[in-house]
Order: sequence, then C-alpha cells, then structure tokens
Amino acid sequence: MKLVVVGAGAAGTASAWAASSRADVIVLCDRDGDTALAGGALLTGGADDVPLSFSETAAVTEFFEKLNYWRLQPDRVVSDTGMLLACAGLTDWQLPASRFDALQEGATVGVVAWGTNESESRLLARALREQLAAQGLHFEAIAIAGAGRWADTPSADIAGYLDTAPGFAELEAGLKTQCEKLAAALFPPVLGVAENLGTFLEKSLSLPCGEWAGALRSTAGHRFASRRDALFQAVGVEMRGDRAESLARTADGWKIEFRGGGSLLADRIVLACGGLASGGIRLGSSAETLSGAPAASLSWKAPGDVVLDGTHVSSTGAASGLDLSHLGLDALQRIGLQADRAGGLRAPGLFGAGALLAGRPRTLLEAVVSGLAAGSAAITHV
Amino acid sequence: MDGGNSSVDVVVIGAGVNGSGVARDCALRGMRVALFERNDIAFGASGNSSGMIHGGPRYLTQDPEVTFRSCQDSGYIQKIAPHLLFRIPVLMPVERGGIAGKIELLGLDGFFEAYDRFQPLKRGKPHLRLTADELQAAEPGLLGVGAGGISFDEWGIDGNRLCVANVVDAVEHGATAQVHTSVTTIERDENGAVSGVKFRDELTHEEGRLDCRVVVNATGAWAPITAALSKLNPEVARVRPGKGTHVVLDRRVSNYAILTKAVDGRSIFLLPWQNVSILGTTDDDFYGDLDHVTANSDEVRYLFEAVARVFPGIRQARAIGTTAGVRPTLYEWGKHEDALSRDHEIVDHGPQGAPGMFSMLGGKLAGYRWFAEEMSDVVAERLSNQTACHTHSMPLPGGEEVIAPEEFAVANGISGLAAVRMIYRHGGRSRQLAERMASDPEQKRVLCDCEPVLEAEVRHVVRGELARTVEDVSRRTRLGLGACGGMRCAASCGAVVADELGQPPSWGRESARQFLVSAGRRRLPALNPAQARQEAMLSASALASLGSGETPRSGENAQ
Ligand SMILES: Cc1cc2nc3c(=O)[nH]c(=O)nc-3n(C[C@H](O)[C@H](O)[C@H](O)COP(=O)(O)OP(=O)(O)OC[C@H]3O[C@@H](n4cnc5c(N)ncnc54)[C@H](O)[C@@H]3O)c2cc1C
Ligand SMILES: Cc1cc2nc3c(=O)[nH]c(=O)nc-3n(C[C@H](O)[C@H](O)[C@H](O)COP(=O)(O)OP(=O)(O)OC[C@H]3O[C@@H](n4cnc5c(N)ncnc54)[C@H](O)[C@@H]3O)c2cc1C
Repeated sequence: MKLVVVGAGAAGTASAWAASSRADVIVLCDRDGDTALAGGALLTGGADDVPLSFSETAAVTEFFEKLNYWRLQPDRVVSDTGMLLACAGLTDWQLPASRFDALQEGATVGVVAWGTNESESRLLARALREQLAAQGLHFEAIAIAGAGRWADTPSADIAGYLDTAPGFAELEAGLKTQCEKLAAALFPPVLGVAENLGTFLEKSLSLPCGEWAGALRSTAGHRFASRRDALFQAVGVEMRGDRAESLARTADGWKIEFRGGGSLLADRIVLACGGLASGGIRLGSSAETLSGAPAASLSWKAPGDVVLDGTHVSSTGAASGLDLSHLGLDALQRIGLQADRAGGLRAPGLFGAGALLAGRPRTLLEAVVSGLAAGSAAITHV
Repeated sequence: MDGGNSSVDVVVIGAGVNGSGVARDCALRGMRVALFERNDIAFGASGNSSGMIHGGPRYLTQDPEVTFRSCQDSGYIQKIAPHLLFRIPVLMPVERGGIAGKIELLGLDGFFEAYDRFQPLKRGKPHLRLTADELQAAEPGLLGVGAGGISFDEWGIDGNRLCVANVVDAVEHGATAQVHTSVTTIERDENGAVSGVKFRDELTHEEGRLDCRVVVNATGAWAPITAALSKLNPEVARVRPGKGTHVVLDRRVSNYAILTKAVDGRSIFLLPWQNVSILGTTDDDFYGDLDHVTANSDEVRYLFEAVARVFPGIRQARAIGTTAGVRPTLYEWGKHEDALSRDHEIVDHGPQGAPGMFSMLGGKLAGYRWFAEEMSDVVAERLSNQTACHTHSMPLPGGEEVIAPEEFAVANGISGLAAVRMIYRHGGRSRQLAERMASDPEQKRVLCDCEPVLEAEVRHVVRGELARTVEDVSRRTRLGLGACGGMRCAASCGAVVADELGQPPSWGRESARQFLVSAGRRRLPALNPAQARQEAMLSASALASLGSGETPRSGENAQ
C-alpha cells in the first residue's frame, strides 16, 4: 500500500513513522512549518490538551524512543520571557526547572549571555528572580569574554559554531573562569545542533547546564529536522520537497498534483500540512469526490471549507480569502478542519493530523498524538 | 500626581495635536498648565491621520486666505521641527484620455499654477505638467493610460512625534502632563465659572483633583462627551465624527504619492510615508466607541481596489496593518462627509453659563500651531497674560540642531539605518541617546529589527517622554509596527519598560501581551490568508510565552 503524507512537521513525521512498517510512505514537505519555529518543549496547551494517560501511550513512547529527540517527562521549562512553562516533556538540551529544586537557598544560577546581549540576560535573570522568589534562588547574568560578537546572530548559527571543537573550547574556557560562584548555568538555545553540548559542559564544570526554550529563530527546528531525517532513513520513508496543490479521487485511490506540474498516485493520504487559519483548503462534497472532481484543493486561493466551533466559516472579505477579522485573533488560532477521532476527514482514505485539525490545542504533543492516530488509521481503516 | 501643584491656571484636556499645541503655547507664555490625556499622547485622530502637512490646495478657489495660512504654518512647522518633516512629491494622473483628458489636464495645470504662488512659504517646489510618458517614467508602476498628469509638492510628518514634542516642551516649560489619566468632572463654582477638575489615572485607578481658572476641551471627536463633564449640554461642542482608515504596506512601493479616485469618486492616495506606504483614506460618519476604533476588511478592500486601478502592482504588495482615527469635523447636517469643512472653531462656553470653559473643534494636523495660537490668545486674554506667542519661532525639542546620521552612526557604533531612524524621531535630542549609549553600551541592543529601535531609545521615551506601556513606546518609536507586528520585540520591550519603571517583570509581560492583542486587532483586517495563518501561529506562541490568558475578540476592551 502506498501512503502519501503531506507535511513533515511533528504530525507528518509521526504519521509516516506509524505507517512505515505496513506501507510505502512518501512524505511531501514544502518548507519549514511551525515545528521548525517551536521552542522545542512539549507544551501542554491547557485543560483540554492531550492527557498523559491517553490510550496510545505505548505508541507515543516508542515513537519518542525511535525519534530520539523528546523525553516524555512532565516538568517546567524556562521561556525566553522568563516564564516557567508547564510541559509534558523536553528535549535533551533543555534544563528542566525541576533541577532548580535540588539547589540550596541562596544559590546562584548563571544566565549566560552567549548569543544574547548581556542586557537581555540581565532582564531574563530579573524575571526569573520574580518567578522563583519563593525558592530563594539568585539569578545573575553571566557575560563571557568574546560573547559580544554574537549580538545579532541567529541562535542556530551560534549553535553550529559551538558544534565545532574550537567553538566549544572557547565557550568552555570562558565559563570556567566564572563557574565557581555558580550552582547551575542556564543558556540560550545555542548548545549545538548535532550534539547536546550541555552534557559535556555539565561534566567538565560539575554543575547542571542546559538551555531555556527559545521561541522564534530557535535551533529547536534544526535539531528536530536532523533527528527526523535520521528516523526516516532508518525506517525507509522517502521525503520529497514538493508542494501538493490538489488532491483528486481516482477509481481506487488518490492523485496528488504538485505545484509546478507532476503528480503522484496513492492509496491513502494523511494531510499534516499545519495550521489552516484563514482557509486555503477545500474539501469536496461526497458527490464531487465520487465524480472524480478534485476533492481537496490545497491552495490558499481556494475558497475555504473550514470550521470554527462547529460552524462553517466561508465568507470572503479581506484583501484576499476568508475574512476572520470580525472574529478576532483567537478565532484565527482555533480554526481548522474537522476530523473524527482517528483523524478521518470527510472523504474516504483521507486523514488529517496536527495543527490542521479544528478544535484541538496547537502543541507539539497534540501533533504527535494525532499524527500517530492518523498514520495507524490510514493503514488499517478501509 | 500633579507634580505637587493643587492649582494651575489652565487645564488642557486631550493630548492630541491641538491639546499638546495649546499646552505648549500657554506654558511658553508663562501660564501654569496641566495637561491630561485619557489614553496616550496622539492616541486619537492625531496619531492616526495621513500625516500630511499640506498647504490646503482644496481651499484655493473658495478661500485663498486659508491656503495662505496653511502654507505659512507648514513653513513654521518646518522651521521649528525640521527633523520631523519629509518631502512627499505627489502625482495626480488624469485618467481620461482624448480631448476631455487634455482639457482636464490644462485646467489642473492652471489651478496648480495658482498654488505655486504659495509654495515658497513652505519650501515647496513648483508643480509640473507631465505627459503620459513622463508620468510613467516617473512612476513605472502606474498604468500608462490617460492624458498625463500633474506633480506637486507636499510634506509628511509623524503625528505621534509632533504631539510628543509639543508635550515634552510644555513640560520643560513648567507644565505638568499626565497620560492615561481621564478628566472625569469639570467643576464649576456657584456662578457657573470653571473652578477645577477631577481626574482618574486609568492604569492605577488613583483619583485626584486640581483647581484651575480655565479649561480647554481639546478632545477632538470626544468634545461633546467632554463638554458634558461640566454639566453643559453636549450639543454645545457638537462635531460630526468621521472615521478614517488607512492600510499600511511593509515598504515604500512607489517613488511618489499617487492621487486617484475610488469607486464612489472619492479621492484616494497611495503615500510613501517614513519606511512604509499607506493607502488612504475612508471618511464615514462614526457613532461607535471612540476609545476602540478599528478598521474593517471592507475598508481595506475598498482602498486596495481604488489604488489597484491605476497602480496594479499594489495587489502584490504586502499589507501589514491598518490605522483608524476619527476626525473631529465641524458639525453640519445634510452634507456628504467629504464636503464638510476642515476649518476649526473655538467655542467660548461663557455665554452658555460656563465662563472659563472653551472647546476647540475641528481643525487639521497641519493647522495645529495656528489653532493653538488662537486658543492661547483667548486664554491669555482671560487670564490677563500679556506675553506674545513664540511657537512659530521657538524650536520644538529636537529641532534645535540638525545631526548628520553617518557621523552619528560611526561615533556611536550603531548601524546607519538605526541612526537615520533615531535622528528622524529625536532630531538634536539624539545626543541624549548617545550619552545613554556611551554610559551603558549594552543599550545599543536592537530591540525591534524592523524599524529599528534600540534599547536606549525605549528607556529614553519611558524616562523623558511619558511612555507608560509597551503600546506607548510603540507610538513614540514605531517599535513593533513593522512586518512582524511586534511578535519578536514586544516581550523584550515589556521587560525593559518594566525595568525602567521599577515594575515587576510580570507587569512587563502583561503590557507586552496587551500590545500584541491590540496590534493583532489592527493587523488582522489587512492580512492575506497565508499571512493570517502565520500570524495565528506566531501570536499564539508569543502570547503563550507571555503567560497569556484569553485573547479578547475584536471590540472587547484589552485594557
Ligand atoms: C513560534 C512557535 C513556537 C511554538 N512553540 C511550541 C512549543 O514550544 N511547544 C509546543 O508544544 N508547541 C509549540 N508551538 C506549536 C507547535 O509548533 C505546532 O502546533 C506544531 O508544530 C504543529 O505541527 P504540524 O506538524 O501539525 O504542522 P507544521 O510543523 O506546520 O508542519 C506542516 C508542514 O506541512 C508543509 N506543507 C503545508 N502545505 C503543504 C503542501 N501543500 N504540500 C507539501 N507540504 C506542505 C509545511 O511546509 C510544513 O512543513 C509553537 C508554534 C509556533 C509558531
Ligand atoms: C484618517 C484621518 C486622516 C487625516 N489626515 C490628515 C492630514 O493628512 N493632514 C492634516 O492636517 N490633518 C489630517 N487629519 C485631521 C487631523 O488629524 C485632526 O484634525 C487632528 O489630529 C485633531 O486633533 P485633536 O487634538 O483635536 O484631536 P485628537 O487627536 O483626537 O485628540 C483628542 C484626545 O483627547 C483625549 N481625550 C478624550 N477624552 C478625554 C478626557 N475625558 N480626558 C483626557 N483626555 C481625553 C483622547 O484620548 C485623544 O487623545 C486626519 C484625520 C483622520 C482621522
């Protein structure tokens, strides 16, 4: 059986993996999606988020083991705004806030300015002091000689430099002169892309070392991509850099057309193409689907067939496309396609996962869980 | 709360351009002034105008005296705030071809010849009559049809900076000014004369009162509501509020401003303005909540369609936001919005039983100084103050020195672009920013990449320009108004504002969150679907990392 997964974010990756043992899987990936922007930690998105006791726990655990990127262990992570965010799990690079619990009252945590400006680290330290006032910890900005030259460099580039031996040696030497007074060191998301340099630092400095979660322009996306590519290679999933433009039902399956020409036939499809705010997809009626007309158009210019709180949103208005301005920002954040529990969309053989779905929290964990569900459903449901 | 004074001569209500101008003028004449602004400086029409200091060509035929005064005042504003003005050459294509088009062009040529006589007053260049080919060579994006066109010369300004400069100068000359502080009651004595005001800080909810002898109601479209605070009938300060919307594009897409017509025959423009372009404007009677005016997507579409007819490339342009303000137009019944007079009027409420109370109605950004002078003359007479007006010759803060950006950039180790933008906003006062950066080099950190804005400037506007929130900083510096909508800088700006004001970091995050929510509301109507999708994702994540609770829907109060 041939399965095509549209999108290689967290949801697409999970779907492809779940189906890989029983199908030939091709993943289409147009460009980086939200997974590449995310801070990395598996955030919990509020009361209606995926409970940790969900039925697919075994599958999730296995997927995380194989992906070798996230650890599923509830904790809190420091955000770049100085918040402690509750999360269902972290990457190896991040310093779980639970490790602060073991520190003694009055201990100093260094907030390292390497890739951030010292003023930024100072303000982050100020915010953490407020957050953890009860614990009596002291947070202090730590400037390392030579760090200033990174002022306007994206953190992923700095991480790439630290991946090299001279880069790491420079950081390590700079820190050694400072670390006597420290009980832990908190870093911007720069501790390597291929390797988790935090573990090396932790050994050589003998103190807890790890990152806070950066939001935009963070390295988390690069790290995810390299782990994803390794996983796909290991299980024989093919990835193509094409953009699907329309999906049409054929007599016994689906035809996917690409932007710029070319097409592909598939038995089943998982749509994992990210958040759909403001339209961009059109699912045909079942009559259309049977007649061979395109069942789904994936262009932003297509009239929308999206659902908000159970109501179809389809009026046009703004400069182009759907007008959601009267619904407010939160509507944009919630809007998406409706699917059944296994990710089934309205047309047979078509499944959806991740931020594309309506009425679900937009988190990495949700993307993984729904991706696994859609991938397994695609290879079992008829 | 009022700087220790419990009594002043004049209370000015509203820090739009008119209130700021009056506060400055009266303070320069030595009167004791207190200025109250319920939202922020330039929050209303003044900060959401088209930002043109035009010479009033539309009055040329009926009232050339108004054109003369407008041009003269434009000249004065250039003299007192040279850093804030930028030249906007305008193209007016004649879309009709054939004989009819030629006749129209000749008619316009004659008209602008008359306007040319006033241009030297404001250092404007004479107009040119252009053939269709010349027009297209000047502006290749224009659709090459019609008889040709006219080019003429106007000036642009940042209305926010103009108001801030007036307020800062008023304060430096002894006035007190409080932003986010509403006047809640205008008190009158047993004879009906104005005797004081009560006020409330909208952020801390602290209340206070102040004795005064004169109250100037400079609250623009709010004027009738303000008049009612003194128990006068709101009708005594009636205006005809007209909402105007602009769409903001991410960059300058044309060399010239382009004037054209919308589907209903109204005049519409595309304006290169600072580092963006703006499309404007609509004019519709407005009866909604003046504290929450936002554009809607119908207005956006109307403006895009109008400009696209002569400048089709606009359809590919990237819209990044909208502005909306309400004109305090003089009241007239039965006239079309565009036909209403843009004149101004001072109402003395003495004859209505409230001596000492005055309302400033109508007016334009371009005529603010002159309107303020007239108002201050009236106030001075009532208070027997003999000092003459100096506002046409005394430089506004920043206007005293012209700084060369290249040298400034090198001397301070900041990027050329950052220097240009900083000097545009602060003129000679950029020296104060340089001192800050010299004593703490970390403050050279770029907080907002799009504009760009440095940490030093954020701290400066909090310390020296009365900014109290992230949104206030944005109004003064244009932080967060670029393509990213503040998603990348709001949080760090909030941390700096909190630090500067001695507030806890959580307060700074809340201030950043409120800014993102209201900025989002301004951006949403203008975004295309792909942008909207990105916006939704980014803002969800930005708000989450600020510890956001609910995101209010449009129309709900974010404060
Ligand atoms: C700045 C930011 C920070 C965030 N931080 C966190 C965090 O720290 N923790 C957390 O839990 N959540 C976070 N989120 C939310 C989380 O990232 C998303 O909910 C999640 O990544 C969605 O995954 P996805 O696979 O559904 O979509 P995406 O990751 O967006 O993947 C969709 C993919 O499909 C591709 N695609 C789309 N259309 C087509 C097409 N027609 N043809 C081919 N390919 C196509 C896209 O190019 C993209 O690669 C964050 C979101 C943002 C924006
Ligand atoms: C879309 C648009 C485009 C325009 N374009 C131009 C142009 O290009 N050139 C030009 O010359 N003119 C232009 N104008 C006109 C010009 O902007 C206005 O005439 C001028 O700004 C009015 O200034 P103001 O101070 O009277 O009112 P506003 O700027 O509206 O100020 C009134 C202030 O009073 C405050 N306030 C209200 N109630 C209270 C209270 N109880 N206590 C304390 N404060 C209170 C409000 O918060 C507000 O800040 C334009 C106007 C609009 C709307």
